[in-house]
Amino acid sequence: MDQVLPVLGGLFILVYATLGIVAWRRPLLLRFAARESTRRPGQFALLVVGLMVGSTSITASLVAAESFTRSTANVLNQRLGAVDLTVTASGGRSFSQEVAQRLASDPALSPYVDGVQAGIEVPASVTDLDQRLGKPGVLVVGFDPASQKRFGAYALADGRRTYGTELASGDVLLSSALATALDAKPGDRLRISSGTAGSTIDLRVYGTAVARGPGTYGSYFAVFVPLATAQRVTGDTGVNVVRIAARGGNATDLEAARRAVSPLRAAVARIPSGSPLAVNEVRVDAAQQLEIGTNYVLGTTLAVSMLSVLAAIALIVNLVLALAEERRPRLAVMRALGLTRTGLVQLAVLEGAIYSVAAAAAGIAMGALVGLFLASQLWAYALIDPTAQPFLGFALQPSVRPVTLAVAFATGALVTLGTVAGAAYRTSRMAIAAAIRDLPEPASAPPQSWWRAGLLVVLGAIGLAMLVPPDPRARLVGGVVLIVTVVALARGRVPDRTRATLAGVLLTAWAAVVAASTPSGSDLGRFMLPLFGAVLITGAGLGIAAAANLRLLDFVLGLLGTRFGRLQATLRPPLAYLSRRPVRTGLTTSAFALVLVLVTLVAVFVAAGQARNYDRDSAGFDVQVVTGGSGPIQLPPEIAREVRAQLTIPMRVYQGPYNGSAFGGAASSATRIFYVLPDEPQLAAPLYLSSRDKRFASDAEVWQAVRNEPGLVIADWGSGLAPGEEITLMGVSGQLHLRVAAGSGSTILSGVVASPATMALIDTRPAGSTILLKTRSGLDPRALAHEIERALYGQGVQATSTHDILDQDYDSGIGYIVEYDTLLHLGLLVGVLALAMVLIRATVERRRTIGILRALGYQPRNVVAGLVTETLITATIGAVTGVTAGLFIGYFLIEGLAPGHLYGVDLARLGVALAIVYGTVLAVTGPLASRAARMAPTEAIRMTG
Amino acid sequence: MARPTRQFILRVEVPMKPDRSNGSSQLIVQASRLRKVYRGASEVEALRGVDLEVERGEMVAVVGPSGSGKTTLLNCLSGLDRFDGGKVLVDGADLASMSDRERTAYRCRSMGFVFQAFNLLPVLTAAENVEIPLLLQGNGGRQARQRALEMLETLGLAHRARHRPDQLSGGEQQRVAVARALVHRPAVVWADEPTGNLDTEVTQVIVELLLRMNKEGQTIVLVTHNPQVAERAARTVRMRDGRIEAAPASAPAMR
Repeated sequence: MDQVLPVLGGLFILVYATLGIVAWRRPLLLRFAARESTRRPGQFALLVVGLMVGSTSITASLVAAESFTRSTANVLNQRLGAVDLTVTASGGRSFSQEVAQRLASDPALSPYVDGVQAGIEVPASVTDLDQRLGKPGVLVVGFDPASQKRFGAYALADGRRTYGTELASGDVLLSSALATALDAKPGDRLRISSGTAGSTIDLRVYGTAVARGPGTYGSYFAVFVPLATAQRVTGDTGVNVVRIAARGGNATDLEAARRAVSPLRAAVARIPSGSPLAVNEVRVDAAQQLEIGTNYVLGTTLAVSMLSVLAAIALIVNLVLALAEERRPRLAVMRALGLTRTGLVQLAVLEGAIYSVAAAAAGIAMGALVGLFLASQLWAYALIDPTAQPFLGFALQPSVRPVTLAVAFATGALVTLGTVAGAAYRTSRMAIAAAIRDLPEPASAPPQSWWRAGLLVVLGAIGLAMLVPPDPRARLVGGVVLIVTVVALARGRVPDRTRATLAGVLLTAWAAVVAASTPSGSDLGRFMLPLFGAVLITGAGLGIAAAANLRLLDFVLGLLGTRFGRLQATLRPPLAYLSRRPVRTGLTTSAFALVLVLVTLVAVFVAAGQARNYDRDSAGFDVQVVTGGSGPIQLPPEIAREVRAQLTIPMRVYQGPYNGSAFGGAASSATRIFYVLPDEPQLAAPLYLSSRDKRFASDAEVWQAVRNEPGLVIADWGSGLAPGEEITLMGVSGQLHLRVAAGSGSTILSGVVASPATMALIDTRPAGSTILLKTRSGLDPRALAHEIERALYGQGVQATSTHDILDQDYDSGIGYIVEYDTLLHLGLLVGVLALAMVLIRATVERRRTIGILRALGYQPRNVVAGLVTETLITATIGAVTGVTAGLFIGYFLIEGLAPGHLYGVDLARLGVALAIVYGTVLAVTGPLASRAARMAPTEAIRMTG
Repeated sequence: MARPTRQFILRVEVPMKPDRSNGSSQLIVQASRLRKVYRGASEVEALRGVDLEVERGEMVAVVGPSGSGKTTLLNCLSGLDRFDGGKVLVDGADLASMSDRERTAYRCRSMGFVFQAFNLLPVLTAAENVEIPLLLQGNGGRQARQRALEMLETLGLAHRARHRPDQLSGGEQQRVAVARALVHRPAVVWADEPTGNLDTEVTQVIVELLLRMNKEGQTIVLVTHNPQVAERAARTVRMRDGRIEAAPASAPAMR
């Protein structure tokens, strides 16, 4: 945003300064513009409301994305605290504590580093023996109280503060989330069992660290223990991490962290160590992950809001054309008095500048409010994401930066002004004599200049050339350019209706050809862009072809006999108006249709998400039991009797450099859980797969291959990895590439699944195990899960019904989709307003026509019916086109990106959208049409004398 | 083939031939003490107690300087506009007592209009424009089309039936407007400056057309500035300042 501001700000200043000069040099125009804009305060307010939609939409998406980003950054920075860099050994193994001492005393490092702390970080299961509650997946954070000062004091819930020096041997601090989960109190006996360390020890709760400073470090569920106690957990005297605070660094300063990297690496290289030590740029990694997340959220919200902007542009065009039509006679008088056509455009643009600034100012205020609402919704959905544990406990950090508002203001104002200028240029063409008398514009002969023909031929050649490369984006654009060129060249040679029909049909056919021949995949540029471009062109093409042939309806009514004569008379003018301007109708409907395409897609995705296929996604397992502890889980006999089948999956933890997928990004030091595929032949397909590499004919083949081919893995649902992609990490003998054979379809196991042979290639340590249970029929899995937790609390076991896990997964997925649905409905509302504006324009443009019809005997109800029908037809073309295209694309996407998900439509959601469309159309256009119909015929045709 | 422009064979059917054998029953328009006030920043009394009678089959020209109230009179008599005082009977029906809906239906059934600016619907073809009154009366599409084409043929415009107004000359547009005014056989045709936008030659064509219609029995009331047009009418009514200056007795014989 900060980089965009100078460009946009410069452009804004340039444009408005130029307008200022025009106003200064031509004060008459300024006076006219000012008087026209302020003549009717009600109309001014209405125009500002209409024009502010674009700014509102842009501001809302920017504020939502920035608030979300700021909140995420806050989480990442809080979790890191003062730690900028870490030093670890390969595979997270322990090394001598002396490493930290040597780094702290290294004079070459002291200019760059002012905090060095030896530490231990291991996953474990924790049990409060007094409360009889356990929790797996807890991070044990060992810290050295002697060096804690630089990393901050722990603030305790009872108001005390400590660097850890007061803690006696065996005393620990709990993160506030863990204390809540265990219902722990100071003095409670705590058992920590670490599968990684292979140990189980009993300790005592000293206090609860509030979520501030070092109390937020590492994880939502954490135990903070002095180093000596942590070494009892791991069972050795070493450490497995050295935390480094860069000199002069703070939470947002990446430079200090970057400056310290090279000296630190050099210093680490000077230290002899049993296992190779690596320097990890944890703060830079976090910043990069944040950037990926920011780009994704900003990209999607902006893309969705652009639909609203598109609809808003249609609204602005119609507003300007309606205004120009209303003022046509007096503008013609000014032309007659000597105002040039350029002057007329300048007049409109000067007036537009007044409106655009007022609308942009109002738009950013409204947009900021909408954006904050959207951000709060996004954050709420993010927190229920099963993979969002680090985010838990953090509130949304609203962000409404002046820079963002300035960018939105400049963009909104420039978009409005540009649209006004384009529309003003078009309306400045007028036959002065006819316009003064408010008569229809006489027909003009089709332009026949060689210059125009030459330009069209060049355009056609460019279009043809773009068909050659295989890139679907180029082919799509090339075909469209070619069709438009040919149709433009045929002007005057082929009847308009035939030309419009041909153009519409050819555009639709071409869009379908490109969409069908585009290879599916998640590549936004090569798959999604041509697909959405094809949707847009299909919408326009179908709209144009349908509009050009609406007169057929008139013809059909004529064949039906006398009973339909009055209906034919009522519908004839609206059908004729729509047919005579097929491009205008087509463009209005396509902008509207595009919003409906996405609303339909949401309905398809929600239906896919709502189709809760528990049996399939749980692969028949009813309960998941997780422990981070060292020992094997032995179910008590009374529970084992209730279990029909069980699958024990060892978990291993990887710590080190990791590079996988666009979403996961690259990290110099990441912690990832791997599930080791049990070698049990009866479990041919232990998990449901939602996608698989094309070389496999069935899921069973995938599992077979993963068992037999080292290096082949199954990616977890949340990783964003597609079949065929690679994960790069540190293996036991150097860098290792794992190939994704398939994607898991649920979050029952939220990590990469690999065979024992593959795991042997990766440098990992044990991290407990997950047991999946199939219960006897008729048993409540949730009750069994509680029973298991009660029975095995001493091992820090967490048991959950797979139904509950999947519910959380489903809710989270739908939550994100529904979030964008809010933005889409905003676009839908704008689209409907644009339709209402079309009607306002129609009533303004057709005062004379309405007057003639009334004089000839049209009752007011005929006029109302005609005008409302016209808007309904426009809405219906848009709705039919949009919904049809949405259903088609939805099928395409579900099959291409998420095979196995049930294809369906959330009819209620789609129905609500369509009800909004038709309800608003009727509510807005009904009164407008009724007002137009009440116009006295003599007033409409201005018969005075 | 030469395009027919002036030589028309009129076969226009009108509701009733003028029958001047008995007195008051032949009056098709009766206005008494007609008043119309335009209310704006200041009130303008456009009609100040106008009395006017038009006989069935008569052709009356209303003339007068600009602002004298000619068009206002025509609007009030034809039911296009409400009036503030007095009484208007058209074919026995009291316009003042009619609701807007009734007046609209009455216009549809019994009146035809020809305007100075032609006022054809720009998006419809000539035939479609002519069909409108028939469709509004509930005729079927085929029947309406047939009669519209017959009417256009009568006016020498059969070859222009599928053209839109912007593809027609001014004279052709006005002839289409005349066809639209006549196609449903109205009791009265109201023409407001029907030649105001036409050159001398085309004016002649339109005037001849109106005279022939009148000769067939069509009642016509026209407002005009053009003395050559006015003098062709059977009777001329002069207006000034919202009053009728001179209203010669009805003399339906054409000159």
